[in-house]
Order: sequence, then C-alpha cells, then structure tokens
Amino acid sequence: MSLIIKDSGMLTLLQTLDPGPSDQNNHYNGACDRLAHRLANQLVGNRVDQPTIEMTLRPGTIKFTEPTIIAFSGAEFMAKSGDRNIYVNRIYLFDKGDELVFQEATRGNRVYLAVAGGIKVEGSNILKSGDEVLMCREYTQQHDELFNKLKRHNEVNWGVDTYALVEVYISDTYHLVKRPDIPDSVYEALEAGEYTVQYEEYRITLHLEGRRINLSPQNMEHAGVRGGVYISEEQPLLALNDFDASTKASHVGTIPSYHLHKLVQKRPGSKIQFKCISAEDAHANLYAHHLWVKSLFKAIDYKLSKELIKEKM
Amino acid sequence: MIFCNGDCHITYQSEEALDEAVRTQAVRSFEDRGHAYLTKVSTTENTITFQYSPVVIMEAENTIEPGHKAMIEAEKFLERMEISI
Repeated sequence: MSLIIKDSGMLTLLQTLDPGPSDQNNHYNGACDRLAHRLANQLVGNRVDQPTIEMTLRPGTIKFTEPTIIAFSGAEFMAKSGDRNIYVNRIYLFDKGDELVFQEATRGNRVYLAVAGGIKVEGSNILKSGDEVLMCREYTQQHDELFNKLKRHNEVNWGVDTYALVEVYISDTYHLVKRPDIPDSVYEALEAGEYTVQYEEYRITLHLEGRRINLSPQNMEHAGVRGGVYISEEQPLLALNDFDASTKASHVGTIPSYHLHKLVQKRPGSKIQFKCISAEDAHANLYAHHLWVKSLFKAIDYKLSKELIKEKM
Repeated sequence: MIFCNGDCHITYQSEEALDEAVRTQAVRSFEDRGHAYLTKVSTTENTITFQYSPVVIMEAENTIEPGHKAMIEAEKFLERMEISI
C-alpha cells in the first residue's frame, strides 16, 4: 500500500531535511524550506527529519490507498478532497480512495507534505505521475491515538495559523552577512535598491534584477554555499540547495539560514531588499529564531497531547 | 584570509590557487579526525570552507559568539595542515 502520485504537478520530490547520499537518480540535497519540512512532520507526530514530499509552484494530485494521516506546510496552497477544503498547517485523515487535489497558492512557492509514520521511495526521488510513495508505517502510540481520534471527524479543529508564521514568511527584507574584503560601497548599493525575482532555476539559483552592482572581478573560485549571494553580469544571483559546490561568480556575502525559509518561497515578480549585517548579529537573530521554532513546536506538541487526552476521557 | 561566511560556515580564502594535493589532504585529514564543532569541509581552487551548527555551539558553550569558537577550531585545523592564514 502506498500513496499514488496521480499528477506530479510541476516538480515533485521526496526530500530529506538535510543533504543525504545521492546518486545518478536521486538528489537528496535537503529541503529548501527546512521550517516547513519540520513543521509538517511535527504536526503529524513524526520525527522532524522524516522525508517529506516537496512540491514546487504547481503541486499535483495524490491518491491514498489506505487510511493515512497527513499535514502540509509552506506555501499557502488551497487543496480539495472531494467537497472538503483542505488547508495548510492542519492535520487530516484520508481514507482509501481519497484524493488530495492542490489548487492555486495565495502565497509562496513550495509545499511540504508529511505522512504520519514516514514515507520512502524505492527508485528515483523525482516523482512522476503514476509513481508510488511507500508508507513506512513507523507508528508510535501517539499516531495510534491520533488515528482513533480522526476516525470520527477526519480532521482536527485547529492548526498553525498564518498569523503565527507572519514573522518568518511575510517580509521582503533579507539579511546578508558581509564579507571583510568587499567594499562598503557594494553593500550600500545592494541596500539602496529593491530587487525583483526574475526566475528560479529550480532548486539551484534565484536570479534577481535591480540596481546594478559594479564589482571588480575577483578571479577566484568561491565555495557555493546555500544562501550565498553572487554577482553575475552586475546582478545578484542567490544560491539554493542544488547550487554547484564552486563558482567563479563574485561572492559578496551569504543570507543567514533563518531567512532561507522565506527566500525559497519567493516567486518571479516578488521583491527583495537586502539589509547587510555582521555575522555576530546574524547569530543573535538565529538564536532568537531557534527559540521561536522551539516554542512553536512545543505548542503543537501540547495541543496534540491535550486533544488526545480529551479523546480518552 | 579567513572569515565567517554567513551564519553556518567559516571560509579560508587564498589569492593563489591551492595545490590540488593540499586540497585532497585537507578533506582526508578532516574526515580522519574528530572535531568539536566543525561538521563538514569542502574546497575549491581558492577556498577551504568549514560548516558548523551555531546553535549547537551557543548551547554547549553558553556563548553568543559561536563564530569565534568555530573560527578558532578552523584555524587550528589549518595550522596542522601547515596552511598559513
């Protein structure tokens, strides 16, 4: 028994949280939106590093072949299952034969679908229409209790509200950690202009257009790091998960990890403004973000436990 | 030059291209030894980049400057490799 990818949409992958061993057919370079990946898993009571299905730009249709608990996080895609409206950041039980059909997104680019008990694939992690995703069924006691609860209503009456996530997703300002060898004038130019996302080379780069950046060629091979901001033809390009390990493009700084969730949710036409900061400031912001995520996940855990205790009484 | 490359990496950069043998040896030596906080290394013609988890260092060392700890560890590694910073 498995999930059937009835329509694979634009780009659908089984993806791990962190980069893992890859070969010719598999590209496990980690979830682009690590927060959404972990949040979806947290909602269904999984370990946060269980693989999820990453769907970009136009998610497709998934068919269930046995009772399955799911949640999806990330972009605000509306979805339907028959007449039921299915919302982001909520927990649902689907039955054998049910189909989850994704529709337009009101915000964002990528959605992550987690399945209680975990999922895996036997072949390529690039999912095509007709592919099967196997269910691991590593159910915990909490999963069993959740199945029992959802048997009656198919969904819980709460979820993570958009307002709770506003701080991490709804802002066009991106921190950029400065390098010591780049002139201040470059950072002033980056901060002065507003950039527009031109296009995304899927999971590789985001190409921006805006104020031109004049930088003498560095003539060296830079490390390709996730979040790296490189200048190519006087315009910034931003490195995503599948970016090359090295590049000759000039490197001007790196977007810190706590701003990468919202970066990968940017669509063509979206605006980006840079705020150039030091690594020390980035670390302080990162820790604040880490504490916020921890408290959000604790709140989900508490809500879920409370719900299940209520069910037992 | 060695610098904090974003919030999770330390990069050593050389104007001159690094010898291929030095790069290979750096990766091998990194993998052979245990490290307190550095988790991964990668090299290019001009750089050696170390990865670390700032939150792990912050919580283990009770510090708000994890980059400093990671930098010291990276520098020690480079010294052992006889790479002048």
